[in-house]
Amino acid sequence: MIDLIVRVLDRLFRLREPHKGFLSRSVPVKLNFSYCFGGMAFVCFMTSVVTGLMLSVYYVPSATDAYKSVLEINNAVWGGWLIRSLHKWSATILIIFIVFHTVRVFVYKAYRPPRELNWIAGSLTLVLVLASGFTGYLLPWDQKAYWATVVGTSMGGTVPGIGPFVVMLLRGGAEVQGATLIRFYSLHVLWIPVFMFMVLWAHFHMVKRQGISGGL
Amino acid sequence: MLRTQRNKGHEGRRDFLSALVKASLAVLGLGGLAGLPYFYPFSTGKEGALEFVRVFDEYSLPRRGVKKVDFTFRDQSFRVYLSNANGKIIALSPTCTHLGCQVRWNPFKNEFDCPCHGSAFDITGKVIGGPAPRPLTRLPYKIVNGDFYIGVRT
Repeated sequence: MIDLIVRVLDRLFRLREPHKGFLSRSVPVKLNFSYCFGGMAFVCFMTSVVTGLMLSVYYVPSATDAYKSVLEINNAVWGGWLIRSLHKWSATILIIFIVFHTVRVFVYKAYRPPRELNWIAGSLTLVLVLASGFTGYLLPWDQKAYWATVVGTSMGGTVPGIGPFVVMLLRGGAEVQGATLIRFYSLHVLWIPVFMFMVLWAHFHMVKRQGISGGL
Repeated sequence: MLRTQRNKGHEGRRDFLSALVKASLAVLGLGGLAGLPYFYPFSTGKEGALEFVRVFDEYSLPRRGVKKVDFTFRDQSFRVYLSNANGKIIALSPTCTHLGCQVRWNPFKNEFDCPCHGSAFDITGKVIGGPAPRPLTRLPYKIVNGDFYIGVRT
């Protein structure tokens, strides 16, 4: 039954042929568990995406209601505390695994030609994840979030020449305020995920095309 | 250089691993169904009915200026500021309307100051400075038979 559905879908979209290598591709002999860090990071990313979609059902991005809605998620929504904790911790562990993955790729010299572009795609992923972490930190709209964002955005003011302009751009005004919250919310749930999926798509397809580098 | 594991004799293992991956994806998908109650609308819980608590008799009300009143009711502690601007008593909640810090009455400047982000309110609770978007919340009260009652929600 499932086989029939898969076959019909494949006749329509022909996705099987280009993705045949997903579960049966050639890999170097000397693989070890350090090659799993990238995959583990991706699992954390997908957990963040799914739990983030679930949180967005209840979260209200407004200066007056944001904190209240977070309390509701924690206290009133069925399993809401779990979903919120999963989102927070998977995001935290995601960054750890990306760092491990980067170290692994660096130590094994897997960034060398022909994989230079994939190193760049990975670096972009790290930047996007850090940006997502920074913008997501403001969303609970409590004292810690507020002051962390005051400090974080004011760092942009130290850029020579365009510093004040950068701060205005980040905050959407002179102070951290409701406009900042909506700006960060938009970045966190729309802009950054869109670019993340584009970069990750490139990242994985380059791995598929080039194979895993041969180890030390 | 790049020796690969596409050797004879590994098909069984490959099939097993590929089945394992598909099975875990299926388990994950079915397990996700267990999360459906998450999307069911939640009840915010019944908000406590408004109840009037006797604080003191009406002669203890401030003749002018502001008086801080702390009292407990059903194991919850409350703080209310009673202000008398021009002969009319106003009961004000000390919770700042900006981010919920507790404001304090500053008798030297004749204003309520918020310690967090510098919001300031005059004796009637009106915003006179800082980021607060609304005046301080006024609480209902009543005077019955010479006793002063404040309305609270538990």
